[in-house]
Amino acid sequence: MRWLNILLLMVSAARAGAEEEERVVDRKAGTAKGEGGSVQVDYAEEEELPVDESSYFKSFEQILQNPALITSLAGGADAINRSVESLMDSLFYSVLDNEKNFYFNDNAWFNATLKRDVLTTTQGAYVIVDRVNLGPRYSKVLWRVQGVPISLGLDGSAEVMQIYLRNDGMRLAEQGDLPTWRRWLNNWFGIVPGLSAVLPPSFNQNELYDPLKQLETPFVFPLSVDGFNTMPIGSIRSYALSGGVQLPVDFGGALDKSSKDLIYKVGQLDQTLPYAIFRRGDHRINVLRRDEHTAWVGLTDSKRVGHLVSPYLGKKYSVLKGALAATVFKWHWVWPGVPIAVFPVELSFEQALADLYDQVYEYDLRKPEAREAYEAAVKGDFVPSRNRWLDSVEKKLETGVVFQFTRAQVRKEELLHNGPNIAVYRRDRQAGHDSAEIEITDAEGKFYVLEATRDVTDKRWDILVGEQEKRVQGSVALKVRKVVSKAHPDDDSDYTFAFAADPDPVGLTATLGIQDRYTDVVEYDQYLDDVRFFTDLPIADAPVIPTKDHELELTRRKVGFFADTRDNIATLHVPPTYLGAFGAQAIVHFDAKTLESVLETSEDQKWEAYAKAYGTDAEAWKDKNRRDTLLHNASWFKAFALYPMRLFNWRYPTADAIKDASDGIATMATIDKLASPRAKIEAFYQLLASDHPERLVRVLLNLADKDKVPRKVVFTAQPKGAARAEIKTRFEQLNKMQFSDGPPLPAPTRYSRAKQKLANFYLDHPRDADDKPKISRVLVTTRTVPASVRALSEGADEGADGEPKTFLHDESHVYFSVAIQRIDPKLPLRLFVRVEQAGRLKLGKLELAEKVLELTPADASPTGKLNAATYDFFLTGPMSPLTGFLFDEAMADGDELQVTLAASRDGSVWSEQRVAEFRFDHGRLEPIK
Amino acid sequence: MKLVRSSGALILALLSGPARGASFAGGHLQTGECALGVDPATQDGADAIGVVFCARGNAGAEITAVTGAPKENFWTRFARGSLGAYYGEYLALQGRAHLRDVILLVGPVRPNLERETDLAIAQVGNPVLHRFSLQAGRMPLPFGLDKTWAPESYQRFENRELWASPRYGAALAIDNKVNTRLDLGYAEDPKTVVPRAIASEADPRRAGRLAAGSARLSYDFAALDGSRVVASGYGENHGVRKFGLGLVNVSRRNDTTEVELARRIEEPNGGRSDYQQLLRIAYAGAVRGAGRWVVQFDDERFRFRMGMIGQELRLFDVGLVRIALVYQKSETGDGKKRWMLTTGLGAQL
Repeated sequence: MRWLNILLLMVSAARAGAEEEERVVDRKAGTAKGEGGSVQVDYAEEEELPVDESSYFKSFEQILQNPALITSLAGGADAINRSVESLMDSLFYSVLDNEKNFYFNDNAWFNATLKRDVLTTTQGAYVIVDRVNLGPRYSKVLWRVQGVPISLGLDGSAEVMQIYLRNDGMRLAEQGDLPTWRRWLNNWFGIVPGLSAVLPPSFNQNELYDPLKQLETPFVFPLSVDGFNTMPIGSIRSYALSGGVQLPVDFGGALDKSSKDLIYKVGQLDQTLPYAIFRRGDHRINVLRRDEHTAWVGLTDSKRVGHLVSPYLGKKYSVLKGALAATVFKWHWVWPGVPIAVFPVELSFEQALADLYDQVYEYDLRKPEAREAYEAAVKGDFVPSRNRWLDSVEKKLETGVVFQFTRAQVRKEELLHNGPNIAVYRRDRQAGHDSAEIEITDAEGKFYVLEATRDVTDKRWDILVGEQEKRVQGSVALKVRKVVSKAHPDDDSDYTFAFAADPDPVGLTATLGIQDRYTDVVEYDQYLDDVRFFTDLPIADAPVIPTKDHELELTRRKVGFFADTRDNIATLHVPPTYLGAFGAQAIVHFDAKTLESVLETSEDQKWEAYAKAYGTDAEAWKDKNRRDTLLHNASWFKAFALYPMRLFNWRYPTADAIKDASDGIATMATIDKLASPRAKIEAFYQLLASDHPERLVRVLLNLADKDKVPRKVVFTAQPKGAARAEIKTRFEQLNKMQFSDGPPLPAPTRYSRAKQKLANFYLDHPRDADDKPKISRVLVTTRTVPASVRALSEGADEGADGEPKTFLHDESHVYFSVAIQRIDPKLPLRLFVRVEQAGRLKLGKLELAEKVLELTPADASPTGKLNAATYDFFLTGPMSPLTGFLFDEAMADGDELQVTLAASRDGSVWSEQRVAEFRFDHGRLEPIK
Repeated sequence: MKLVRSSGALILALLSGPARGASFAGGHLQTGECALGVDPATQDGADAIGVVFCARGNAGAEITAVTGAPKENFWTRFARGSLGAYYGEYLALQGRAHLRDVILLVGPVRPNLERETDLAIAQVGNPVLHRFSLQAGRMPLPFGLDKTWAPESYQRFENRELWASPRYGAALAIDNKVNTRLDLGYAEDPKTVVPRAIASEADPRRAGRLAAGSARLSYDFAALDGSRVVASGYGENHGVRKFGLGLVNVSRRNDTTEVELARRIEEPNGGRSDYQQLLRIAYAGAVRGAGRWVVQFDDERFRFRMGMIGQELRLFDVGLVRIALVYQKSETGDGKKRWMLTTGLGAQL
């Protein structure tokens, strides 16, 4: 009742307020005009861009790969768990990562694992992956040779996953529909929101929200249509049966005693050098809810045979172990402490031959035939699905079953993972290198592709600002046809490939992706340089932002001049200005003709191109006589000397230049001579084998006619933090800027379309971007409570005497008008509102309030559009739905505020977040300068 | 006559509120939050500095009530002052001293006066403006952060040995003007001499005049508006070693947060692992309106854990009112815990 009253009052206030005089500050398309009184942010002219399809695909593949399991069986179940990734994991997130072993005897046990992974998306939402894994394991040391244990490991497991999107709006909206006990439990009885308010921005409460959801994972796989209907739209559920056999050998055991003692003395570190030969298999069914009635069911079968080496040096410390303890009847519990991982050396390298098979069907579950086929498919039987699809194609029946494609691959894989992890800082590289023979069957028929890929992801994480990611992918695809041996036409394994009759049978596509949620100007300049280097585009129109805030520097100099020796330790240099979240996606494509021209360039030209790309002496390298000198060849010593630094994830392009250039130029010469597609793809695979893939792309660009190479980059920029409004506005200009040169990018091929469909299983875009609501304008003004309002509601906000509180009618309060498009004005709208102070306690952020409001429109169709409306509410004052002790106190003090808004029709699909900033001080509203 | 006019201007400056500055013959005096009017990094700004003095200080008294132990209630009288004289951008003289007296409210009055000259130095170059600057005279060696904003009654519990150094020395600051600064210091104390004959029996390294060296490296990074990590080391010829690690964050509006870990070890220690150690976490808000919040937590190994939260109010720009709630838990094994309420009144420049 109280809310209804407030809503009615809001509407009346909006009408009353319309008569008040307003001064408006416009901030359209990045231009700020300063005038006190109100703040308006207009987003109407922004263009929606399609989201990147492949951005999270690899992340999920990496989650599913588990090299740690293979080597952990080398030392039995007690082998060190290196899955603790960061201090935040250790302190908080590990609560939802639990592993328990139930022993049958010394060699056999049953393992139960619960795990949650959280991935970020460019749209600001998070992808949550809850996993439960159950299965037996066996490990026995068979022999010891010179102190080196040789073991046998066996494992089998059943895994169930649920994958879903979550953002702050969804989280809060969902809580409105939950019973009180569940709401408290989901938020850990208020602890998680409390931590979020004071911890650094790298803390993400979605990592811990709703622990029960993780426990329900094994029971929610949609084996029936009814079960499917309970899935949130856009979510995925998956189950897998997997197993393997390993033969691990721990060469760390061969280390002499004095070396072991020395390592132990240095922080009581552990070390192992396990090597394992393995064979693994995995059978997985995925279900994706595409929309209200559409299901996609995918089958993935994989078999891998390979070997792996995974050395480490470090230790997992348990800080505060035993600090808490409890005794309940005869059960004694001692807190195991906070696991802190310190691994100066951590590495794993796996090589495998893989047989992979993927198949995807689509079902319209309004059709009975599709429902029947779906229920069989989720149990692993795709025969009814195939029959119903054939019925629809051949008999033109509307069965609702659509065959998307099958993909069969024979793949050679390499996966490297290395990087030091010292609890508060982690630098990590994951590098994949594959070559594959791929057979695809889609609705048009069967076709073949030979593919070589290189995928290198570098991540940096620190406890204060979280993760930065840079990812370079290179892929060469050869369109081929299968030629069965005439000598043995019945033998499926006796075949070769020939180039398909296609004007463009070869293509090399390289992409660069950068994501950083907390970017300062130095990083921003570096990222722009990275993109310039990768694409050879000038990107001249990107906003230029001074590294440091000159006004702040001036103030610090004027005051710091007088600091005495004890004070000036706290007189900091003005840091590079913090801007907010930054993202870039760049793509470069070389077609067959361009690649041919690159390969045909002279050796001298190739050396010069390598020298320019790697930052060495181009004049010297392009001259054959100088390349033959001792001085030039002495560069190899640098490459050799610095090679071991890879153990610590340090790689130096100038040192590696000589090796990469020698190998690359020799490989290019080979590719040019080869005629067989199989041999050619193998050579391309070798060409991509660089630790500096972005430099290889630049080498190719240096050798190519750039006018014939399509190049494109798209930026995203979301200003955040306490920088001056002028700087933020300049940074925001970069958002959705595109730069391109050369001819247009080629249209998607059948193969890329199939890959895109597969990527849908990894939640790239749960709904089409066009379908989301859009906040087109935010107007912040001050209003007084209308004279007609005497009290808020019955029973609410009563004073000590039981009488309703009174309030002053001449006090000004902050009033929001939010124009939203792509909604139904007749239905209530959910508006997510978060109010933050810039943060007094600067090691954390100070969140004042966070809520989802349910609003009715104050003014339908303000812009004449049928699906648009304006929604109004008081942010502060007695009519504010956010009122609370902390919030009201902060408002009374007066401060700079940042308000984040997002809109949703149903609580599950949300608009992009919008941020409005202003200063409100004793009734005066001002834009932040 | 000139002198009279200058003195008049000085008095006016001290009493005239926020302006806090006055010119007199040949120079300019500022008090309180001193700040140059022009950018000293420019040639015009540097030329305009001339002779300028900066005076700061505060004085007052605090009363502290201790729960459950009325006999331990005490009051604290204090005065702190500093004066800097700057000639152009390169030369300066700086001095700072303090007085503090703690008196029990019940029982006989015992003299407990602490009187210390903290600083009396000549400075060549300015750390904020120049890559190199040198300070020499009576000064603490550069070590750790050694910053607190807590009331005087709280500061009296500080273990100054953690930061103490020989009295007379010199320190060189090397700053890359971007993000890194290195302070190197050397100091001697002529009054603290251990005769070789006595020292040789216990430890030959302790012989002779007390001398010490220190190094402090600070690195600034952009996180959260600007943070600084500080690592320091200190060694004495008499066997004391100290190590410090600190983190300071200063927001754009001058809210300051610090974390400091300081450890002091006396060698030789005969294989014992006893050492003194302090972990300090402190926050001092910028002055907003009339006041600011101060929060501090100190954990001194085997001595106490204590924390305070307080409000500092400025009245008419020169009056200073402090209210703080302090909790102290003894770590010496006696299990003592106490709450203290401190209120203070004073004046400041």
